[in-house]
Amino acid sequence: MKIENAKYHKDIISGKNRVINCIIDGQHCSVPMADDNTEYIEIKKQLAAGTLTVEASD
Amino acid sequence: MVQKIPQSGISGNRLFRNLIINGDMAIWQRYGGSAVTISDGSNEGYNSVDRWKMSFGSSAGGAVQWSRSTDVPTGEGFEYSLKVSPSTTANATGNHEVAIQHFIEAQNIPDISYGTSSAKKLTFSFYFKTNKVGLYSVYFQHPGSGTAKRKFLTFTPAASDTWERIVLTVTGDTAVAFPVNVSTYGLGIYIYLDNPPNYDVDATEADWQTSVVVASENNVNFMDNTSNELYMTGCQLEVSDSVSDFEFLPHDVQLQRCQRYLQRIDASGTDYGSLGVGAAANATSSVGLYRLNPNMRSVPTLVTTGTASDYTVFNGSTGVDACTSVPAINGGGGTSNQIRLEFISSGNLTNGQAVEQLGSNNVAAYLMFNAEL
Repeated sequence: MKIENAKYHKDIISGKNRVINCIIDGQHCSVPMADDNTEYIEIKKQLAAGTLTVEASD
Repeated sequence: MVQKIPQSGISGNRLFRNLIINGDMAIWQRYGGSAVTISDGSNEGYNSVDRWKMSFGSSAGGAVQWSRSTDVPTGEGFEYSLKVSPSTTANATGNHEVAIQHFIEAQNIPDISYGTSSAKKLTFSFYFKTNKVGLYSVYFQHPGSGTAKRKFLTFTPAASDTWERIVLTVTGDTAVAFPVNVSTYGLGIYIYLDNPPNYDVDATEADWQTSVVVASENNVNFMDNTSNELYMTGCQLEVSDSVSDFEFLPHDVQLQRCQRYLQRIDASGTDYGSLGVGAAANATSSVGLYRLNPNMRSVPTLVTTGTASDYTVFNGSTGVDACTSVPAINGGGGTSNQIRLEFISSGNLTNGQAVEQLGSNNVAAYLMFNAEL
């Protein structure tokens, strides 16, 4: 899974990072930070491997 | 006189006996039946017919075109097949893998009893037609207890450009179980289109194993010529040591089964087509709650067109406000049956104002919710 331009996105109410917006295999995606989500599982793998960085939220 | 027969006395009485969803290639939610070129490292994954995935492992290179075809086996009741053809060739070296994949959710197969002496045989059948005749490998994978196990089988089409039904029976893995009451994958099916030399063996079949042996060393390289093409439909995996007729489901049932993994909301493409409703949180941001029906497998990923100008927000005071970024999920409260989306627009909203979230004028914008395995 090729993940590019990853950036955290804050919850409008809590102000906490809950989503990662990115491009996955050419598609613009908004990935919830949920442990059963396939794309988030892959993001965590790539973060752990040091092959992905996620930009801080605005 | 009517005689009652108990369910236990009926052979093959499993409902939904086909473990493969959309095996007859009937549902194409993503892009209709349009041809999609799927390239290594670009858009591989789920990009065409529902529930079927294309992968290019380890930067295998190449590209294939997937499309919906009406070329189907005569008289079997199928409307469509999946057509696959290389658009960019590739020659496997190392561990390059090019494969068509299908994943089955673990909690749909609790009764195959892997890891016990009662592990069930499975029979995989499908209608297949190709002009690239040769030996093809199909491997099956389950997640085990942390280390995946695999087993491959092979088949060779009898003739070029001729529909035939391929039948492969997979022995059960009596040694290792996998978690079954979970929404992650329980079984994966990989149909190999190349021949990764690091992962092949000089055998036509090997038992379930943890080593990465996925194909015969004699596997055909379907990816070697852009004139190669294959067609598949009627794919069925059943808990049985023999094959049965393909199990057709009503269209609405099949669609709903697919929607557990992918749901799509479309703007009409006429005027400003509606996607949903919400309220303004501030001058630029509006949020809307989107109900997901049926419940999805997981909290889904949102996929958009990727073009901010495809989306707009309408309010009763100032009219249509163009979006400045593509819609995104907002909030940690999303679940498998509802999620909050944020549309960010140019700044004409008033806090608390009701808004409609739309596609742009005459743009067939969409929101796709993806919870694939």
